[in-house]
Parts: sequence; C-alpha cells; structure tokens
Amino acid sequence: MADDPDLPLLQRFAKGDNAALGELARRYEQPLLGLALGIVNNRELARDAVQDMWVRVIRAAASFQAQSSVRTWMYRILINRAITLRQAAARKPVAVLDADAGAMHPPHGAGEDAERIRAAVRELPENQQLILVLSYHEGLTHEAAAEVLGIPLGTLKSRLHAALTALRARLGAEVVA
Amino acid sequence: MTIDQGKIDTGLASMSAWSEAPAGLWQAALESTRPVRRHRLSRPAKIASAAGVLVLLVMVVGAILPSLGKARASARSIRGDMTVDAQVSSPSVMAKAEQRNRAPSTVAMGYAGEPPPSMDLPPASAAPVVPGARGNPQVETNPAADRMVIRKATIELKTRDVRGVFVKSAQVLSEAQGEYIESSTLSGEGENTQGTLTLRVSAARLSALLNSLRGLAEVTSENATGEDITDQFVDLEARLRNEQRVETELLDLLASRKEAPLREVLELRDSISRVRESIERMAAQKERLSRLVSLATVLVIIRPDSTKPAPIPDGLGGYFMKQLRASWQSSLTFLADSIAFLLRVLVGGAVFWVAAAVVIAAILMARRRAIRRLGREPAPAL
Repeated sequence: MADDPDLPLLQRFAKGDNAALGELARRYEQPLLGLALGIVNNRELARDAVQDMWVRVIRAAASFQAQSSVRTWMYRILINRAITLRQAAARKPVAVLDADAGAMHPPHGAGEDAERIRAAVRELPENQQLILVLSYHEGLTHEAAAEVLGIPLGTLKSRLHAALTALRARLGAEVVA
Repeated sequence: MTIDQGKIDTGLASMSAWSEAPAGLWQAALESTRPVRRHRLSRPAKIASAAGVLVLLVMVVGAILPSLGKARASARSIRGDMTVDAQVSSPSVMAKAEQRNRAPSTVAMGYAGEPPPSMDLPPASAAPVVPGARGNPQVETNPAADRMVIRKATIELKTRDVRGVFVKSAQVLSEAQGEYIESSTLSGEGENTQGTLTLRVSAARLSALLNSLRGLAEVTSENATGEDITDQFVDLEARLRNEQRVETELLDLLASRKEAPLREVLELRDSISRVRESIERMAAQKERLSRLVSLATVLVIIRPDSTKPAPIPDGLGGYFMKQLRASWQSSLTFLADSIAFLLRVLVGGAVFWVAAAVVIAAILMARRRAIRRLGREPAPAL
C-alpha cells in the first residue's frame, strides 16, 4: 500500500499534525456519512457511527499497519460500527431506524419511486442490503467495495446480481429492465 | 406502475448520499480523545517511570532476601535435627556422635589489627542438669536440650590503659549470679604493665560478658572452647547409684548379721567404709562437674598497646585533610557495601527477576497484540 495517497496524511497525524486529519476528513467525511446513513437509515445514528469511526482512527493511527489502504480501513471501521449501532437500535423497544426516513433523503432521488425502492431494499436480508448500499455508494468503485468487504470482485458482482434480482422481485412485475 | 433500471439505480444511489454540509465530526472526535492523548507519557517520562519501578523492585527484593535467607536457614536446621534423630538408631552413627561429643570443640581466631567478629556462643546449661541414663529416650531424641558443656574462653585485649581495663574487666561480673574472679594478676610498670584475670561467669551470660569485654579495648585474639561432658556425667551418676545400692545392701547385711563372728562383722564394716569413700569421691566429682558446667571460665589477658599514636594534624588544614581521608574511606566502604548489596539482590533474587521478566514480557506481548489489533480492522462479515 505504498502508493496510498492517504497514508502520508495518517502518518503526519500520528506524529501530531491535526491538520492532516482535517484533510482526511475533507476527503472522506461526507461520503462516509452517506454510507453510514445507507446502513443505519437514521441521521443521528449515522453521525454517531462516523464520530466513533474518527475516534477509532485517532486512537489507532500510530499503530496502523498499512495492510490495506487507509480508505479501506476507515470504511471497514465505519461499516462495522454502523452495523453494531443498527443492531443495538433494533433491539430497543421503540424503533428509531425509520424515524426520519422520509425526511432524510434528498430530493434528487425523490418521489414515490425512490421511496418504494428504499422500502423494498429494507425488506431484503442484511447482507444484500449492505452489498447494494456499498455497490451504489458514490465514493466507491466496485473494486474498492470488494476490497472493503474482503471478497473478490467476481464474488461481489455475483452477490450484487443476486441482490438486484431479489430487489426486483420485491418491486414485482412493475420493473422494466 | 413500472420502475425501470435507471430509477432503481438512482434510488439505490440516493440511499447512501449525504446532502448536508460535513458536520466536522472529526474535530469532535479529536476533542473527545484529547484527554487520553494528553496522558500519554513522553519517552523520558517512560524511562524515568521504568527506572522508578526497577528501583522499587530492587528495594523489595533486597528487603525480601534476608528474611528468606533466615527462613531457609531455619528450615535447614530443622531438617538437620530431623536427620540426626533419624540416624540415632544406627549404632555406628551413635558411636561417631559420641566420639564427636567427647572431643572439645574449639573456635580460635587471630587478628592483625582488625576487630574480630563476635563469637556469640549458645548458652550452656546454666544449672547442672542431670540427664537420664544412656537409654533415656529424652537424651536420644533431643540431645541438645540436656547437654552438659564446659565452656572456656580466652580473650586478649590491647590498650594504652592496662590498669583501667583491668579494673573494668573485674566489674563486668555479676556477683548476684555467683560469678567471681578466680585469679587476677597485674604485673609490670608503666608501658610494660600487663594484666591477667580468670573469671568464672554464669554460662548463660558468657556471650553477653564477652561482648562487654570486647567493648573495653581493642581485641587482638579470641578463643572459645566447649567440652561436652554429658557422657562422663551420665556414667558418673550410674556408678554413684550403683555404689549407693551396694552400700544399702551392705548395711542391711550388717543389720541382719548381728550374731555373726567378729571377724565377719569387721570385714563387712571395711567394705562399707570403702564403698562410702567411693560414694563421697564420686559425689564430689559430680559436684565439681556441675560447677564447671554452670560457670564458664574466661581468661582475660590485657596487654599494653605499644604502637605510637597517630600524630594529630595541627591547624585547620590538618583537620581538613583528616576529614577528607575519613570521608574518602567511608565513601569507599559505602561503595563496596552498595556493590555487595546490588550483587546480592541480582544473584540472590534471580528467581524474582526471572518471574518479573516473564510477567513483563507477557504484559508487553499482550499490549503489542492489542495495538496490532487496534491497527487492523476485519472486513465486515456478510
């Protein structure tokens, strides 16, 4: 991972340069928030997940072993943390996951169709939801998504295909391919 | 209502899109972790802490070692006693032990200007104790308890004031305990004066008395002996009892043969007289042995110190030089003591060091493993 453009920033931060962490945040905080939102379906939980991720990055910056790229490492931390938060929230008696589902998404995916698609995705198994969210996340290519999930690209594609098929099935015959 | 693939793609992309401005969460995270980061020790502080812990360990091990040594010595002595008890049943071992007991034990040391180490002797039986017969189980199982030992010690002192030390030596006796001066000689004039005292002191007080004498003047030599007379005493007692029994029998015989011829009566009286004499001789011998055991003999020889006194340096310069020399000597002594202490802690406490090294290695390995885990993140499980 010698050609990782984010590694010097992390190393600088580990030596005490907080501005380097600011630069990393400038590059990734917004996409990371979006991904967290896609997983937990709640703005507050998404913010918590991202903040927890930064805490972990700050504490482990000095011991980062560069076995993956910094971006992959950060995405993995975020996904694991977001999944944990989502599961914890699901165990609460009052469901908060969909509390602001209607208001959280921007108008560019707006409309009744987008809402139906999101609802259909939420009905899928968790691993298929994650494949879909990660594969359609604007910050990641399919190669990068496969690396984050620790699976080969071919496996990602086949799982993505299966998830899309399942989603289309949920949306019924209305789908026009 | 139909949904084409384009709408699905747009809908899926919108699920993980964040429309708001970045929240600056990294700064909040930085703030929340700052106290933790502030408590991290700098390298010099870490080294100082490690040195402090090491010094503390050395002090603890140094404090533990002497008591451990005492415990081991005590355990060894207990084991030793048990071994002796177990071996007593063997006749050859008993014979050897008797031989060893009969031989007087001697501790002697000569000195070349250095004060001698103290020779604290175990107290002998203060009162004459009559041990049981040879077959007495008490003697076999605990031979030290009723042992009768005649203690003798010689101490040679060197002083400029022979007369003063002579008088003080006589004053260390305790008349209340029956101690007395057996003989004393003070001869010579001026620098050739020499004194000799033979003191009879309570055996139980021998060590204390020797310590008092050591404090009076410079000790040039010291010698102590202990003669075990337990067997001799036991034999004497047995013979005495036997003679007393014979005397009783002869007296009974004399009483029952009043009508016997005069010659036989006179022969009987002669025999009784011989037995009586033997009994009295043995009783006196027993008394003498008891006295020898209860009172140790200390020979004190006081000789004049003929060496010239060190010239006293005059003036402040001389005093300063003298103090410097004394300080240098005491510093070297302190250094030697410190090195000896460290050596004792290092070598004697090897077991503790190995244990500490294992614990520290385990802690470091666990910490390294935790750090490695922190720097790695597993891929999300699908």
